[in-house]
Amino acid sequence: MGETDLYEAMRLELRRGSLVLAVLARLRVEQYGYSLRVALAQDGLEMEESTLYPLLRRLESQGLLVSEWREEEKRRKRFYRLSSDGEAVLVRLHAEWRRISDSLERIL
Amino acid sequence: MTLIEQYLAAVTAQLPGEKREDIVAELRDAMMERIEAREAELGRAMTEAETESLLREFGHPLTVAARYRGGPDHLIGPELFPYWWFAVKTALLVLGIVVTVGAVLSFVLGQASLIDALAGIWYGFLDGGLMIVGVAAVAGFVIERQPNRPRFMTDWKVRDLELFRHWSLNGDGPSRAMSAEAARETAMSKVARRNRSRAAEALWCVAIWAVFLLWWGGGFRLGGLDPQTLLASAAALLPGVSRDGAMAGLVQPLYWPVIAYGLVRIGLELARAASPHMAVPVALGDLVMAGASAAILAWVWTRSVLAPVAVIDSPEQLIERTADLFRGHFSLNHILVLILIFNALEIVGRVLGALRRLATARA
Repeated sequence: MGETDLYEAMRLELRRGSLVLAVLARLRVEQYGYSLRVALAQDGLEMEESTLYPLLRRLESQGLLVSEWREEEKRRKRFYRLSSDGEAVLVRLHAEWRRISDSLERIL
Repeated sequence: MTLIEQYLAAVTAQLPGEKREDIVAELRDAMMERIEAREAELGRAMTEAETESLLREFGHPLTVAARYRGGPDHLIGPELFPYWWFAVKTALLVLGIVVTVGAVLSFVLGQASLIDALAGIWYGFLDGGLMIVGVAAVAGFVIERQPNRPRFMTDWKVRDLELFRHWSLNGDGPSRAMSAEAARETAMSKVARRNRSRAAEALWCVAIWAVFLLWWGGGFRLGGLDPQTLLASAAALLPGVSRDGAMAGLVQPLYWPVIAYGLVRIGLELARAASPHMAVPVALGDLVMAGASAAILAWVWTRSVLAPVAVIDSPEQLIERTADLFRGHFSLNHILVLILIFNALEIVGRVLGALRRLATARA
């Protein structure tokens, strides 16, 4: 692998876990797919639709999100929001994230 | 149908059944928003080429649909793969040996020309190899999707690693291993050698029997010949035995018994490898197998087409003929008799071994 390829692969690995945390955190407020993606992009966390939408479904099937279809601006949109289980998991993940981050900061 | 709808139709087709409509509705919605946003930027409608490139950015329908599917997205996962790869390598190696030996045999017996024998090695290996990989892929697929990890991945013992110490299967590996092993063998005591892991030997047995059964059952051929013809030809070397007679009176009756025996043997060896400490049931299995061997041997000796050829009139005659052999009078009949006798002794040895294991296990 060239050095850039290697870096890209490792960068992806680094981002992968954080993206789920970002999605959960953003969904403390109700969003639909598109608005969520735009919000994440503005946060500096680009995510492809083809990854985001299946992820939302998966999190919902795991009980961390609730969703409903609503009509808005003459179009039907599916809105997602954290469930109570989701909020509990988010709190724990956040704590874990802080632990990891602190450990890394000490090492780096 | 617009480009978008064509795309979405492809995705729908690949999606798992239940929530199809729902998922596609959401995707359509997402796509429309994207297009609208882009068109607002551009100040005009998007061209077909631009739309297509947008769809390509989104992802191939197979990939997109796959992300909505639960379960593993691989045939054989990273945890199972090393075991799978090792098993396939070993089986292919055993196949290679068997195919080569068989081709040499068929050439030596005059059943195949040199070209045929060589071609037989190539095609036999190709056929058998593909079948091995195919069967292994299916087995790996099934194991990968089991809820629990198989025992050989979780409950292994250092003693059982003997097989993996020798088998590096690199270029220099086998020769290095063999010379080092030869040196070590002479230094090792008999006791240490007996403690060599049963599990490793059992797995070897399984590999060899599996390849043999594949060959016997017609999974691949050696030198263009099927095993039955090869055996009948070998038997026909004996005076008084014709090839057709051997086929009908020895080989064909043995066809299914050999397969049955082989399958049971494989099952027994797998059980032995999976739990080398289950001495009693495995020893009982050995007894049953020895009994089956004895039955087959008895049939071959007394009722098959070889029976009249393998007759012994008296112990004196047996001794005389053996002495003759050493004096240089070559007699295929007698060699056959000796082979049968040795087989019988081997069966007796197996029975005694199994009985000993039963006795010591209970004690």
